[in-house]
Amino acid sequence: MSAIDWTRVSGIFGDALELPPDQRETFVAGCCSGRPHELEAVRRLLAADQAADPGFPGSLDSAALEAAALVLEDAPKQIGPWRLVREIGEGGMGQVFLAERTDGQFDQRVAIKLLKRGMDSHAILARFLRERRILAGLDHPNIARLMDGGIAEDGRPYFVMEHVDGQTILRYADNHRLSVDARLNLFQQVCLALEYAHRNLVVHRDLKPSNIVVTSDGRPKLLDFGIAKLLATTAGEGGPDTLTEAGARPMTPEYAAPEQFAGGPISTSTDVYGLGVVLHELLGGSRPPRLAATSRAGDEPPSRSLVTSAITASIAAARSTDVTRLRRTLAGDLETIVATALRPQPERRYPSVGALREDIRRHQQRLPIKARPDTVGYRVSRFIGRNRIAVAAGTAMTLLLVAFLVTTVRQSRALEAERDRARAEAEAAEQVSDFLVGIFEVADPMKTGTGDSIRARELLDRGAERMAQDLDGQPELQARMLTLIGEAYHNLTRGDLAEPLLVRAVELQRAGPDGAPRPGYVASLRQLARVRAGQGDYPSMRELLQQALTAQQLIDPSDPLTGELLLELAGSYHMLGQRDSAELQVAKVMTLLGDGSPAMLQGTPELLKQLTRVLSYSQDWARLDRVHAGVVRAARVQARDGGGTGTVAVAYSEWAATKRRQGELEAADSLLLLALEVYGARGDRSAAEGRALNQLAAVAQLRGQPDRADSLYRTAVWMLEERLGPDHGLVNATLGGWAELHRKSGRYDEAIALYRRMLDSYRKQASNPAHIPVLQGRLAQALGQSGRLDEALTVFERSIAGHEERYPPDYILTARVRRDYAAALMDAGRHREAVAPLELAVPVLAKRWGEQDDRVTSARELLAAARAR
Amino acid sequence: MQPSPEESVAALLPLVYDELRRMARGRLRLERGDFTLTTTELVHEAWLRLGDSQEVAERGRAYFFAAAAQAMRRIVVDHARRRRRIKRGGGRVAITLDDELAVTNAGGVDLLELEEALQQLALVAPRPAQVVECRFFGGLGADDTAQALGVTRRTVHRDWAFARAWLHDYLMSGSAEGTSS
Repeated sequence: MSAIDWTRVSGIFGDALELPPDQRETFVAGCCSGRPHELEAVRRLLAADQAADPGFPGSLDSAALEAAALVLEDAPKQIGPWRLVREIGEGGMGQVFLAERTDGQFDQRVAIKLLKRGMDSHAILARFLRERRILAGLDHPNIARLMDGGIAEDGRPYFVMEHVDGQTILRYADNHRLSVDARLNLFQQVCLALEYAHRNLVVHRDLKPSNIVVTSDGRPKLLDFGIAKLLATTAGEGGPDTLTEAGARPMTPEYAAPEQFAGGPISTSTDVYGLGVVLHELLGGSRPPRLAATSRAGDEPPSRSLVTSAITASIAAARSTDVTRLRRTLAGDLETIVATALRPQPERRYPSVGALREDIRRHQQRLPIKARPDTVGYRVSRFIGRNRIAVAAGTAMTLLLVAFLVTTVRQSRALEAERDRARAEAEAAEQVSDFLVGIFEVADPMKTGTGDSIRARELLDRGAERMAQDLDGQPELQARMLTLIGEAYHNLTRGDLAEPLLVRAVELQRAGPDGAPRPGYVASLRQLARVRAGQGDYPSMRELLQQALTAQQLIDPSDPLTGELLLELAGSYHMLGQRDSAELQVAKVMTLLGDGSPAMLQGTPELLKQLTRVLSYSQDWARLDRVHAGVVRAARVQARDGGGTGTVAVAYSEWAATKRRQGELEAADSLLLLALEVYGARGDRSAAEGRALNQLAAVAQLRGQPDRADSLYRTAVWMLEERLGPDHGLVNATLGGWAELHRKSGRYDEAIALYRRMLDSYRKQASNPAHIPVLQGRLAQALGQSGRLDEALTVFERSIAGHEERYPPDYILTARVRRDYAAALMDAGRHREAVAPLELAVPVLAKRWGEQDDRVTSARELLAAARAR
Repeated sequence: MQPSPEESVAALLPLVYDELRRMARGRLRLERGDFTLTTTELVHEAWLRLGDSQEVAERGRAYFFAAAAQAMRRIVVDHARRRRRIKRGGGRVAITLDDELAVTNAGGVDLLELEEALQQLALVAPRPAQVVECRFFGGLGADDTAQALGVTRRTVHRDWAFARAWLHDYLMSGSAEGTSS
């Protein structure tokens, strides 16, 4: 029997398939003459090809996932003499199990850290064996002991540690509402444990709150001592110098010292830095801003971040105080202590943990502390030494920065004055703007997870002020900066502050030296249109977008920007109720894109995202799903090519919004969970994540899951407040949903408190006054339902007055408030007075909802009842 | 010295394997609505998570996907074996065909039979067997498969057609006789 040459067979088979069926047999017979086995094989394959189901063998789907997950259940049950009780944690390095002894010798519970596959098992084990004596010798009441280690059956290294039952230091302190002073006492115990370890030449290297657990009797215990070093990939071989080895790779970026990123020597100072981060969070409730990736060693310490960080009412409450008092307590000594521990250069930090603890003790005893804040002179010299900055700057820095900008511009102008002045300006703009764009993006809450809205506002206010004066005569640069600041204000929901800047930017760019618009003209017009849309001024929005389109046609009609502008224009037509005009714009865009779904992919994610928004007005759901899928894919491609994963998350939540409008709540729910998972994987907590949580809360509410909605709203508010400050529009929008949930669940007092808070916030800002009458209506309703009728009626009257002042007489919301007002009047027994508001409301409601609508019927019944008395 | 493709894939395998298992578990912890995840999405999600890690960057995207397909194959086949051991005769893990066909062909293919056939195919024609691994287990498209194996798209199509016919013949004839003699 001759062997079959399968390479040949597969070649013949492939060629045959490309022929029409009736020619295949002749072809195959020709190729295989004298090779009967091969002829037989090819024939069988061709027959099988015909017989096979077109879907064969298909693909794996979610069954694969189930399978994968079930494999996981088969985690080891036993390691050495230890029986694993349950998994108590999972991290980058592996899983942690609670375990107990099986040989019954004595009753002991331990924590076992099982490293994940793929780590360098042998090197780790060798290092462990070398260091186990030192580590096992660390015997201190505040240090969890490392007891044993080895290689599990499946080849993974494991460590056995004393099991500590308790809460992480942050949670413990918050749950017990420990005051700042009590927190400092707790922290000093942690310091003492570290001093002991340092005396024994062991550096922790991975200090973070989750490694500091407080037992129920209030004793802090440090976990994972020395583990980070055992896992370090490039730890030196054999030397006894435990303190100065470079390259500790396993670390937690949020808590790691700059030298750990830079691969510099690790020393006790590394732990001083880690303690600084923990102290910052323990006292101020947030971590210090991270130095950006490009500027680690040698950058400015965030010297005032403890006091300027977003301290919310809940953070203060957890410290048994209020925001003002907490800020006062932290200002001065404590911020200097924290900043000293956090200095980027190890040699400028506290020389030892003992020195840090000593300063804390001195502060508690009202003695002068030893650390000195950085002087302005020092900071200026550092600033001049560098030509870029990557951290959100404080006040003093802002001024310096603007000064720097202006000087740079003037210098280049002087140098180039005799030559081409316009070009000089363009070059200066280029040089400076990258630098500034970074700064303002840091201030923009939508672009960064670490944005601190209070500092952001300050930065923007000053920027706007100086930009107008100092950049006079630099129209292009000035307009670019104004637009940027305007956009940031817009994202801080301060359209009122954005508007004048953008109007100015548009004017500056309307006509350049050659009479044609300057390059940034379209972008500024567009941003201004967005601000106007936010103010509800849709006619102006439409007009601005038309101007922008006209200019864009002259510049480059094929740019994707054209499509984006068309869609925004369509949006404004929709808002104005001009559906036909809107459809026309969409049709233009579809033509630009080609209406097939693969071609959709050629659009930018931004364009596709807007397309979904516009299509949703027309409720073209099938097309929408296609476009959404395209957006997710495009965003993923972008993320894969180095863009952030943030756009992927946004794509999911946009899709969720569509599904919600469509009434597919479960799908919306799942999509939002996907979005949140992406955010979770990113690790930074941005305002966008809070927005997705808010969306999920609303979906949960609609799905009839009030408890879930309640806890989601709580988290969303907390997260948004943290990032955006208490008065941001998004915070208020979230509070609005939450209040409504409270009201519908019968928790009237909570609802009333939240409505009052929102009203205060809007009044304080004097922006968005449009919300005030609507909110008053809701507040009044909650008051009425809680039985406080008199108060309710007063607030209703104010609300109605506000509506009348602001809206046309047949406005639906006005009619609804009138109806609710009438119902409250009747509850109060004042039937006769209820007749007039109902007579005004019913025709409007009927016109909007239709005569058959239940709500209209019940309003009519109400009117009849009112008249009957 | 440049490592061979096999070495590169083997080096990435533990990493990808762990990540896929971790993701699968995380995914199941979320309450799932009617939104199901496909293998393709799972593998691409893994790419998004690991794509910028040093190990992957050193070896390249193509090998990552090849490793992911291998990892998925191991996870799923291991599981099916284990299940068969537990419930004797119950080695059938539901595998749907393409979405439209899922309704008409509810029976699916026995995963372990397919695995056995695939191992046999690998003996006579290794590359088409790899194509099946990438496409079936890894959910890779033709382009990703071509990159992962370092061949052209056309080769992927031809290999796929061949493997399909071969596997079908093997599974239908119930044994190796005829096609593998």
